[in-house]
Amino acid sequence: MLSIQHLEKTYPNQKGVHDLSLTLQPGDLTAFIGPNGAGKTTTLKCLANIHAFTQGEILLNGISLKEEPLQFKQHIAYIPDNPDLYTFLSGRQYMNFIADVFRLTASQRQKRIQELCERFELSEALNQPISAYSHGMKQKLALIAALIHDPDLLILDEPFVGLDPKASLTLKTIMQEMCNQQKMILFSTHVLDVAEKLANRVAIILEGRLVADGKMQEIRGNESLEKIFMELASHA
Amino acid sequence: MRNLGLLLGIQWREIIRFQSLESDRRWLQRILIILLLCLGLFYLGGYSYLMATILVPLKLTMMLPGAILAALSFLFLIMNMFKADAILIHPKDDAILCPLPLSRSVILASRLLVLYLFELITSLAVMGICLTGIALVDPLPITTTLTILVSTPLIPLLPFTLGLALGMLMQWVSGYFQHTHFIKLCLMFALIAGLFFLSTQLSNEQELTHLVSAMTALLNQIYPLCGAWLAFWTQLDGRSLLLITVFSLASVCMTMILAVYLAPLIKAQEPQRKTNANAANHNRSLLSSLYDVELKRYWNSQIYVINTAIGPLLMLGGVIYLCFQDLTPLLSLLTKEQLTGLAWVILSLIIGLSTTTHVAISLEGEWFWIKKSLPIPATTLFLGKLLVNWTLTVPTTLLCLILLSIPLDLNLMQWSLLALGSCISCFCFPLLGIYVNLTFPKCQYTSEMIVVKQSLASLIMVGIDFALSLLPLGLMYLFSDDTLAFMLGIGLQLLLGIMTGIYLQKRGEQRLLTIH
Repeated sequence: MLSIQHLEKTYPNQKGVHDLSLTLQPGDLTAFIGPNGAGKTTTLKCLANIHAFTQGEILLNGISLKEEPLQFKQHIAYIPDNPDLYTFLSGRQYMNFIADVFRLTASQRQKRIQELCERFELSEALNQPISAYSHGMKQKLALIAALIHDPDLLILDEPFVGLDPKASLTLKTIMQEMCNQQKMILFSTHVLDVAEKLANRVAIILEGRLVADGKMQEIRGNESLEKIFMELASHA
Repeated sequence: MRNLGLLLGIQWREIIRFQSLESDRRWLQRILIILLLCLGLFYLGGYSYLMATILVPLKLTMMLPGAILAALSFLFLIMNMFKADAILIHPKDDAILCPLPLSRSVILASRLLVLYLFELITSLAVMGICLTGIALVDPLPITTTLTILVSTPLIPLLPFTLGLALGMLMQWVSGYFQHTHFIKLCLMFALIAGLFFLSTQLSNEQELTHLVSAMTALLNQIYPLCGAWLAFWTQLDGRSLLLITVFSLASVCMTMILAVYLAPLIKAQEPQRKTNANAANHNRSLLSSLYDVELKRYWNSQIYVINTAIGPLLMLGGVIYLCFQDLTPLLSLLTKEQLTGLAWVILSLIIGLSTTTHVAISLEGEWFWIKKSLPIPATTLFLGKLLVNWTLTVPTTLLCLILLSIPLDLNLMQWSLLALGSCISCFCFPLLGIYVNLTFPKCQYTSEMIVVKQSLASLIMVGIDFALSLLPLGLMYLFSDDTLAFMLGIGLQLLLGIMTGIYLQKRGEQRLLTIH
């Protein structure tokens, strides 16, 4: 279980995140939506320990991010919206680096890399330097590297941007498979259609505050997610 | 012309840009920049004045502007060799400028002009300070002074073209190898060492009693046109002026040929490089894996390598050179303790200037999210960066220590002290570098040069290096015991290194989190 309790992140000259509390259960595929500048990326970066947060607590299966950050990060994977990867490495070298960090054995990584590369159709480009990759290929590589150690929590910031339709479908399939295996996924997106069809939970953030959080069906009701979102945004 | 002016303005700002800081720290940056400029003026002006006081009584006044000319030309040659790739073959602003309604010739001209302007301003400033130094002792005739100043714009032209041509040649050759940057650096160092070696060789047949001709011959070896320049400045010699003009015009034409025809050709011929298709999937320890990535990162950055590797290589070259020199005059002037102390000061200075860690965290840049989101302990992360620094400094330092025992003839105790001091410097400076970088990070940048050469962390690290390395020299004046002064200097570095290490272990993780 992921438990975000009263998360606060403040910046000197701009809004951050205020008193955000969110809980994810195993099997939850949660869409994190909000307008630009609402605090989605800030929240996700705090969750991935890229930014320190001012107040609050984040617990994953009882492990505190503040108290045991290394232990916490053993169970998560994070992909930013525009993943900059080491251009001086090849795809394979980058994945081996990630696998080394998570202490995967040679056979484990070989199996995972092969399987994921085949699904995302990146096998042929694996030995090329990342500097030669297109944006979509970098996105795929970042996804493979994130999935290689089978994390309990997957944090994705705009994961579908730059992916071709086939890779998009592959990612959606993998996300659903992970949830069926009782993993947790928290992803941000501007494409409400995708959020509606894919996620079983939704969290809506406006101006740094969580304004809605619950099962997709309960939040949406008989309306579209877009309509609900616009109504909430107009009241804020 | 308007477009050329616009482009020049942007590229000029790129060249002279320093790290932009939050408003509450800009005062520190301004003070440091002013301090550095004042130090530069003081050093150059003082040097010119001192040299003038020596040369004027010997009626060798013109040797000083001649030496400045030769030194500037050598410096510009090397600078342009390094710049050739960024200016002509792989300019970073191509993606921005090419889609705009700007002609290719204007874009090219702006890049070349901005570099030339930088060298011209440097030449004018340095010559101006030199002439001021001379004027304080014995002013030159007004015609000579005016001739020097008016002809200064021609000084950078020949080294400008030669440097670009050599740089392009090296880029073309190194492009055929897997590790392009490393091969290019080796070629550049070999060329610089060769030029340096050739320029300092004096013919056995030189008549040293004829000081003027001997010094002119020496200057001509560093810069072959030096004699022509001196003849033009002093005698307004027509033939010399013609020679200089012909070379200058040839330089301009050659630069155009390089930029318009050869550079695109070299770029088009760059072979595709693929990594080894059979790279195995070994599993390694976290530290080993991090070290591998850090090392690849280091070698991948030309500006990073040049700024840090040149020190140890020059140190090694200098020590090898000393092994073949007769140091009896020096050995008779200084005691063995003073010699040991001085050797340590120089080694420590170079080790400090070769630190890689003071910008290592900043150079994570847009990639920092990778290491921050992975379960990598801060201490392991720092250790990976420290190992890269030690890979560079420890072997060269040890080799220098072994070689230094030959010319300096130190006993075991003195050599051990020197070795201990040097190892402590290797330990201390990179740790301080990490601390400085954590305090003054610059992870958002458009050019690595801004981080490596112009960031606050770089400036502060240079200051720390000078302060810690030169302190024993000051202490030697205070204490009658040179060994005590030397040991105090080593002790201070050791103490600072240990304190910094403990701080990084306890607070490093938190400090990393505050860096955005």
